[in-house]
Amino acid sequence: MSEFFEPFHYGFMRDALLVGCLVGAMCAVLSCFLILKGWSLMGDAVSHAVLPGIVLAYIAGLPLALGAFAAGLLCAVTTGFVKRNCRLKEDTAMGVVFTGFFAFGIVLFSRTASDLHLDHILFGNILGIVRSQVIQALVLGSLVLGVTLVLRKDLLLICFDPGQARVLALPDRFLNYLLLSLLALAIVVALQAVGIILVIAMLIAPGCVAHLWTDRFDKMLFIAVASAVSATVIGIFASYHFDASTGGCIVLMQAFFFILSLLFAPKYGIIGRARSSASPACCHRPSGSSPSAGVCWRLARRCRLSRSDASGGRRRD
Amino acid sequence: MTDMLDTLAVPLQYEYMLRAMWVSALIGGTCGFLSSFVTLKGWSLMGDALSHAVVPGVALAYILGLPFAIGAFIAGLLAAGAMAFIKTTSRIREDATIGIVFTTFFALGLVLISKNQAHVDLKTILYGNILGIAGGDILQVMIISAVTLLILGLKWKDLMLFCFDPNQARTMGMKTNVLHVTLLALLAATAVAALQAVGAILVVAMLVTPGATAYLLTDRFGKMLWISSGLGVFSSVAGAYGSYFLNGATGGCIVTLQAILFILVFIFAPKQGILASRLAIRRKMEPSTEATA
Repeated sequence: MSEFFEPFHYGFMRDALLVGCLVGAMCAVLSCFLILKGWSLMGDAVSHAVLPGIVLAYIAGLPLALGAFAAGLLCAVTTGFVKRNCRLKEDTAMGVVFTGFFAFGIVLFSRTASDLHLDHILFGNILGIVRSQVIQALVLGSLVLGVTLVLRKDLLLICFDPGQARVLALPDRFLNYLLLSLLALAIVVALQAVGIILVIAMLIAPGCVAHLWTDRFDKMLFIAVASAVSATVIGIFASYHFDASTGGCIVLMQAFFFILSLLFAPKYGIIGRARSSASPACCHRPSGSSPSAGVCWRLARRCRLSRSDASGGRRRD
Repeated sequence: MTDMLDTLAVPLQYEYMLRAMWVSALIGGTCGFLSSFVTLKGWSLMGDALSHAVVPGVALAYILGLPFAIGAFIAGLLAAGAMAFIKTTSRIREDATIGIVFTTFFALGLVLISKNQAHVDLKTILYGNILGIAGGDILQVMIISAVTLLILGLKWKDLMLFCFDPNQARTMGMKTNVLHVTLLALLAATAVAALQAVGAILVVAMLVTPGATAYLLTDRFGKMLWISSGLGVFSSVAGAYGSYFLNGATGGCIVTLQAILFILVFIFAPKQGILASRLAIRRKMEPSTEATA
């Protein structure tokens, strides 16, 4: 047993666990919003697009996080611009823009003599994280986590029902950009832990796991965070004992949780649904449909609407 | 003048450069051809996902000493199957499903590679190694391209109808399931070929950007196919050639060139470009402003 806990004796393992858990929790909270809004793709695009920002910031002698953040936001804004100004679909526009950014980043990188390691940018280097990076990750991570949790009701409404948000006079444009900025910031922080390629998994998997377990958003947040943090801890331990890629192990652990949920979640799992579809009273929703009516209704009730308005206006879903 | 010509001809004297240029032209042409279908079908994300999902297959094939194309192809199809399965059996949205599956496959690939670093070079898989491409790999690329081009050439009208309007295709008695799987298999196969030229991360650009660019230039699908394959060939050759002088990563150069071509078309395209549409709006506005004056 003591052998199993051996990693705790090393300072770098303690740092890795600390940062990993924070990053996991932060990404998990954001993932709940992203999968409801249909922005899973956006995490993919933004996480690739930060590369030229990092290289340019290195050349200019600025903090790397700043360059990464700016490039990530620029990619999202450019995608929106391309989509609005020509007839390409959003996913195509995104594909063109983020690969353009990434390719430019690679060319820049291969032209620049630097002590940056592309491997570390791509796959993270959580076991080799230094003190200043730990502090940076803790500060930025807590910031993202705090802002998201404080504004979670407003953000939730723009994800579920932008029209309703506008009716309630929420600053929807501002909130959209805020969510994008939080996403970009989270990616910059998570870069350290798992690298840009696997950030996307951390930004999708916990939300999907939680979405299979519950209809209530607050519970969903909690489940997502719990699954992400435990996947991170187990993943880091596994990578220590098997001497395998840390980011890879964390993501495989999350995938394992997802498969378990897919099979065994009580209401939306394959087995649970097969059992309940035998009883006629059940009305499970078809796949790919919008989030379930129960959540929407509860949400509307909480969102400063009088109860009569809520049941009248929101039941249609 | 002759000095400059001499300088420009330098890369052409190296056999590896010539080989890189014609192999990437072949890959670029095939991907470009397919990219028209991908753009129309809205499968850009699928291209991205499959190109990442083939990584564990490539790693396993290298470890077992098999041709990499077979491993990659099987991994790609497995990933596509897993996505379809999760999509139909759970309430997770399609984009999230795709994201979860491909990152899982990719993570599996990373773990496999980190345990077997002697057999597999991660850099080759991620960024491609067209300058160092060797006999067996060239043969695999040629076979993949020939088969893909043959199937697309023979079946392009059916596939086009399937991409535009699957319902119509089904009413006409086509086997849409077969077409769907065919297109997926072709996508997986080309992703494997493109892996060689630009690496796993940038494959999606080869499979999307030429088609997107061509889509802004024409309304006719036949023309779009020619333009997108032409763009694919041109950007691959010019990118590989240019990378010699820039001394930059070949895959990065090819894709950056594609992005530049897209930006030019996005601005200047005769009908769909921003300039053209702004002008059209202004022309529409002018008579009304005169009338009010």
